[in-house]
Amino acid sequence: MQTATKLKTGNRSKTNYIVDLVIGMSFLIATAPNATGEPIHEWLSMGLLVMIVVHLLLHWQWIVAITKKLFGNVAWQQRINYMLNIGLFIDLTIIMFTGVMISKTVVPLLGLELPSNMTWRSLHGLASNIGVVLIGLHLALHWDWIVRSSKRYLIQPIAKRLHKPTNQLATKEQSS
Amino acid sequence: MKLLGRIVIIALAAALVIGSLVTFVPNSAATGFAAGRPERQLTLEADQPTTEQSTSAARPEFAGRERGGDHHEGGFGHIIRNAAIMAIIIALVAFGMRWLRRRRDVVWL
Repeated sequence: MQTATKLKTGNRSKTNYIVDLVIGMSFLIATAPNATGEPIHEWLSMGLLVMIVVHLLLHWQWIVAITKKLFGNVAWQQRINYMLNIGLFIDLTIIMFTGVMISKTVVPLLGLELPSNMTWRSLHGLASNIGVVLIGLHLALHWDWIVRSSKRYLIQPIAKRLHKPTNQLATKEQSS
Repeated sequence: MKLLGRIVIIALAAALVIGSLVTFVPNSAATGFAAGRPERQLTLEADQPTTEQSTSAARPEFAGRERGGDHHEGGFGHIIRNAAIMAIIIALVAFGMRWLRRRRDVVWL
């Protein structure tokens, strides 16, 4: 029973890590639309929107637990983390909405035409710059978990794969 | 069903943010060029002084535009810049917090 729970937690942690890694990479790439081109920027952002919803769903229990006892007995670090996450949610919503308003690929593909607008464009740029700072803070607050998970799910498997041929050679030599 | 309910809650929270944003953004600014682009004078009349071109009134479409251009001007350098900003924030906050914890200056951390 305990092993099953451990396995479940391990899988959940791995899923969280993969989702977060994809979100982080996609966000960084999406901040350079001139490098990727407008269509890739827009479709990547749409994918990012889905991944953020998945990220929120994966952390739903934490969101509910902290919301319930936000004004009660809860550690200050958790409280700061919660406030920062609310700020990040607002910022990402603004980025997505203003992005849709100035879209040149995705929205016209749906047959919609929105009025050209400088305010949404300025807001989109400003919100994405704020987003970089907020995501930096979000990563900083979870840095220990990121380092631990990177060792477990990224570095150790690569190291194992690299060492495997040498180990196999050593076993073969011993047997002969 | 449970999952759908959670997605609806996220969508409602997003709608609240978007609603507030649309309310706060002034209508005149949000409309932009909905009524069509203003006429631009591309050639000078023979009796027209050239100084008129240099005034901002001659290029009304740039009114309200961010100084120094918008973020769409960034290429791959933008990715490096943003990664560097994140790295600096992580170094300052994560390692700063660890240092404070070790010194036991901030008990609640």
